[in-house]
Amino acid sequence: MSSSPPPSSAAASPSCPKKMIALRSSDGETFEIEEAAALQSKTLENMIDEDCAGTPIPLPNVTGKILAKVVEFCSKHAEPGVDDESLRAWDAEFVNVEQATVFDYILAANFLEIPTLLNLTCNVVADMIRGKTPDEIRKFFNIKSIFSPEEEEEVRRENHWAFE
Amino acid sequence: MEKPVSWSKLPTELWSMIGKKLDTHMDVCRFRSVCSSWRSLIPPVSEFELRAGGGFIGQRTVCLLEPPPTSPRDSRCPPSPREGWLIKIAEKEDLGGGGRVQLFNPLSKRPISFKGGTFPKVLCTMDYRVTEICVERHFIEEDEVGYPGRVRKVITLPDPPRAVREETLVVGIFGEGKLTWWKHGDEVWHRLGDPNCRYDDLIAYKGQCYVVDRFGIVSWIDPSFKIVQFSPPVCGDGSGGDRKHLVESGGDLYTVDRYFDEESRFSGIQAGDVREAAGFKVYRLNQEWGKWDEIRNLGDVALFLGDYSCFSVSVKGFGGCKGNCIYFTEINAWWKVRVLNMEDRSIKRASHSPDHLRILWPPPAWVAPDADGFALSPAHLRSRCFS
Repeated sequence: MSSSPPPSSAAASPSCPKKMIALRSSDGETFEIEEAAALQSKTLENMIDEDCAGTPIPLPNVTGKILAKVVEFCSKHAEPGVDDESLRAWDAEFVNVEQATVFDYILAANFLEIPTLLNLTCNVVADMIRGKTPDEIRKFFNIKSIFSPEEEEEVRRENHWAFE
Repeated sequence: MEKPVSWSKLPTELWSMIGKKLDTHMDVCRFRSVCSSWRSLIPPVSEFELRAGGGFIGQRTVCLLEPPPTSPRDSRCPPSPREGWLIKIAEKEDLGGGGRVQLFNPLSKRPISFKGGTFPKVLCTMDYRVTEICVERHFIEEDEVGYPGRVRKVITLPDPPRAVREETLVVGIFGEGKLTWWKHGDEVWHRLGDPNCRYDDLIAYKGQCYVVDRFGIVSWIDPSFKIVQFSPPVCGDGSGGDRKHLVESGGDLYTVDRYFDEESRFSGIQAGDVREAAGFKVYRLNQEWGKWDEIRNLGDVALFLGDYSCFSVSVKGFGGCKGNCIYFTEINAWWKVRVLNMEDRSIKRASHSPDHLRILWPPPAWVAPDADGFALSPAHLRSRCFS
């Protein structure tokens, strides 16, 4: 999909005429991404400004498997003329994946500072929390319940309904 | 079987971002009850008393209580039927710092009180899944000057839990269908919309205020307090019903058109007279095409048209509790709780329809068993509740 040339109206600074950015994942895979798509990531935006030599930008925190999907996400969100409704549906499909993958997406979105992906994945995790009891939440995310005795008492009170 | 995920490795700032996505009081409370670290990430929901010209805004919350699922079972076995109890509560701050809770009939302002010793004095909500269905507001009049008449319904925008007193807007329907609004710092309520128009209902939907008039035209209130038409009338040919209700279900906006009994249509009607319902039609707003689609089957959904709020509940998977129905109170007779079965269009008293009553009454045995471990009976109530 991203093999078509980027629109000629895309801005290019005189010293960096390239429109495609190369990225290298932690496991050595290389990916190409259009500059417009790459700019969705604040991290990449900073790196693009600094380095115009064209060498692939190393991303030691992201595996090839996840980077491929992140490139797909950013490219989709940089596409012109996509209406809100379709994009929302596309996003929903994008995160309709195993928990482990959502976990990887959220870390990648955080590291690469992609607000749209971060927002989307945080909502997915919030959905995993909604409606559950605290105990269920702890079991689900494997979190230890550690409270000071005062906090323990506060928590108990906040969760009690004392009837009239 | 999904491979285990090391969620605990997620940095704290991400848990903070995630926690901020939670949009109900109950979910925020749960988040803060998980561990000390999470507790410090999100502040408690601040309840503030909202005074609005001539009175103040009270709040009650409709929740669905469910027992937590039992230990993971063999996925080859069919899932056991869900059980739930739909309740409405109001919390009052005690001077001592704790809160007292009053139970209400979810459709009206009628409190539910049990005879001493039958219902637990204290419920530890951490033992249940509590899903907040709807926060309803009501207006409590204080002085006679300052508000424009008998209040039928009010909503506030934006909705908690992160609302700020100074930014909160109150919109209400008063009298026989007048639309008014009030903002923090105002002395009086302001009229809104067409003075000749009778507005039937209003709802906060996707962060905006939507209203429906007697013809089923839905409009929204724009930031400059103009009414902007959003839909065509529900029945273009004038064959519509007598009272429209707005309700959200599954993210879509619905209008439910109530038809009064033929007799009560033509006899001398005075404000305050009881108007019994003879039938309902349900329409879903097709936003893409800007038109109403009549819905004849709600599937697993039950709609609730109460005096102060309208909401929907999915009863998918609930044992012995049927969906595809509308629970409602009769106009000006909030003690008459009825259920419309969408399949055969019959209307029955809620108390005469066990399949539909189950979600409302009695409190399930896993909440309040009687001495023998069974569910409570009406004999345990101080006064009748679902007649």
